[in-house]
Amino acid sequence: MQGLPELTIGRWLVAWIPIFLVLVLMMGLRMSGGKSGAVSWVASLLIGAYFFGGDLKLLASGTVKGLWTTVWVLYIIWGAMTLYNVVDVTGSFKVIASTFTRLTHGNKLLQLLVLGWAFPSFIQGVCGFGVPVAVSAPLLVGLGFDPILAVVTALIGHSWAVTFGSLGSSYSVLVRLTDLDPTRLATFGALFLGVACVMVGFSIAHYYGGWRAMKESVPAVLWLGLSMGAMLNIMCNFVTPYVASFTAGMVGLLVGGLVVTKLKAYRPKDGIPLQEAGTEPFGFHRAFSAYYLLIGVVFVVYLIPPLKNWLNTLWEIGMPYPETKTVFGYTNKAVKTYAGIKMFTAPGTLIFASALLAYLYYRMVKLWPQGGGKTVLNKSLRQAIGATLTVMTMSMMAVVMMETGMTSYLANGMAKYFGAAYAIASPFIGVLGAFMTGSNTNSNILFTGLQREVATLLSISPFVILGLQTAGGAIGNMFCPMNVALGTGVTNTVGREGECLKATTLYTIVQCLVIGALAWLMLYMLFPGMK
Amino acid sequence: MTQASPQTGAPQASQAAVFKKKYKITGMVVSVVIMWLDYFLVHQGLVANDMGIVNIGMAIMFVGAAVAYYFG
Repeated sequence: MQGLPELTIGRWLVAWIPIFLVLVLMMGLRMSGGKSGAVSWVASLLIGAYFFGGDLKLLASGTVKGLWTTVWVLYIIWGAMTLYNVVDVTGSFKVIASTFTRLTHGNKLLQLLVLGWAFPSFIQGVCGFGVPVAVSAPLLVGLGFDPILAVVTALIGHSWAVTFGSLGSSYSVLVRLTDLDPTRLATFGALFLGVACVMVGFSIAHYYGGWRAMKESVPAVLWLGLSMGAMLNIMCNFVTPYVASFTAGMVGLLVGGLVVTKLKAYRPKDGIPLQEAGTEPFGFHRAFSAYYLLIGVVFVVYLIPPLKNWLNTLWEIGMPYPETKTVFGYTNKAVKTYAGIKMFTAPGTLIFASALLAYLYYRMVKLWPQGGGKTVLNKSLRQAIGATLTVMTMSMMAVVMMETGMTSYLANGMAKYFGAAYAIASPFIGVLGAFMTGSNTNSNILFTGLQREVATLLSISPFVILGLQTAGGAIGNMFCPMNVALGTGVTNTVGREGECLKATTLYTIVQCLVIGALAWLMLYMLFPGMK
Repeated sequence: MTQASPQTGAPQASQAAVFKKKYKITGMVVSVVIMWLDYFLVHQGLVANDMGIVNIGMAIMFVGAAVAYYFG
């Protein structure tokens, strides 16, 4: 444990305090994310100074680095909010809602599964970075779902697709930080995430309507979950992991739209008349055009490598930071550009560009109301400001914890105290990384080395353990305050982040326990000695 | 005095609640602005290795966080 104080149970428990504070204040006392984040940031400073030897320079550096990292997320939040309001102000959500109600024969569960699971998974495949939550949660609200249900569904729905989403950015970190066979790394990641995919469907159904809804959802979840999970595994093992989530999400959308809605189990009962097509004031495709534009813009920029590479070189913003060190020697090296943002390929830019194109389109087809611009700006400011505060304070806390070595200390403690049951704890380390940083990629950057080291010490397969790490990091995306704040921000439910966290806690724990237990069985019962 | 406190305390509390509700959005915007302006001050202090500036910057950051806590 280079640069960290000696591992003791007391200090290890103290290092958990900022995280526990976030959970207790938000979930127990129902405080808003901004308030909880502010308190936890102060706690992280005090603990960082007194227990981990952070000086003023290090703590200040962690604080402003944390602030800087929010630019990326806030850019997405503000963009998504603008896009949502552009669509909303034209009355398009009513048309989308009416069309989906007709197609799904008014079955809310099917709407939730297709638009809250398959759709965000598809977006995650290409874009990620919180965009799936920011886009599909307001869409579900527009369909008449309770905002918290919409946020929780989008958070759970996209999680399984994160590792191999965003064109494989999180997976590529695993490959880059180890010297292990990339295909075998992908095999185990895809195996655990394929299992998680099916559990995601049941989790959404359970949150929507308990055991009864779960029972009702069985045919749809099996069709969607098995087709998406199977495609993910086929792509990772036989084609390329980099577009695995994208392909799986596309299959999910096709199966959701063409197969599941026609299943016998979901046909309307005899005697209930079907709503006629053509009762909407304008067509579905016109109403949905903003999202077509978003998909088009993302495809053009992300799937044409020469264009993406060229845009990447045009404008990057970022600040330099000096080296900082704790009294124990935990060092954060000096950087010329910390968390640089390539402005022309940043997801926020793509969303804002889509919103602008959508605005121009709606004007052209005469759907844009008078004074619409002012309404969009006012609504976006009111909706986004609370989420902005949450993201800022949480990120400050998280980076202070990372820079003082507290996060690594927590992970080392889990490795030491769990011993032979490490396989079950391993995905939770991935979750911890995602909770702190809001990203599967960053979770992998933080903990790939540690997980590999522990696997070597315990003489168990590093492929399995790293598969658990990245699967945990992906699942943790439904549980991290930054994504939760993003969801509450775009659905105008700021201050209710605790409710979302409370809901996703259960599903995070269950999914991690299941994949952890599966890995444990593989390592110690089914294939002992597997490398 | 002891009898007067609860009587004056309640209206004061409701006044504070009204104030908080009325200026909630403004207060949150102010805290975001304070923290972001302060970002550049603290960063300048770090790059120049001037701990005096960093000290002042962190004090302002606490004020920003306190405003965020109050209105958040």
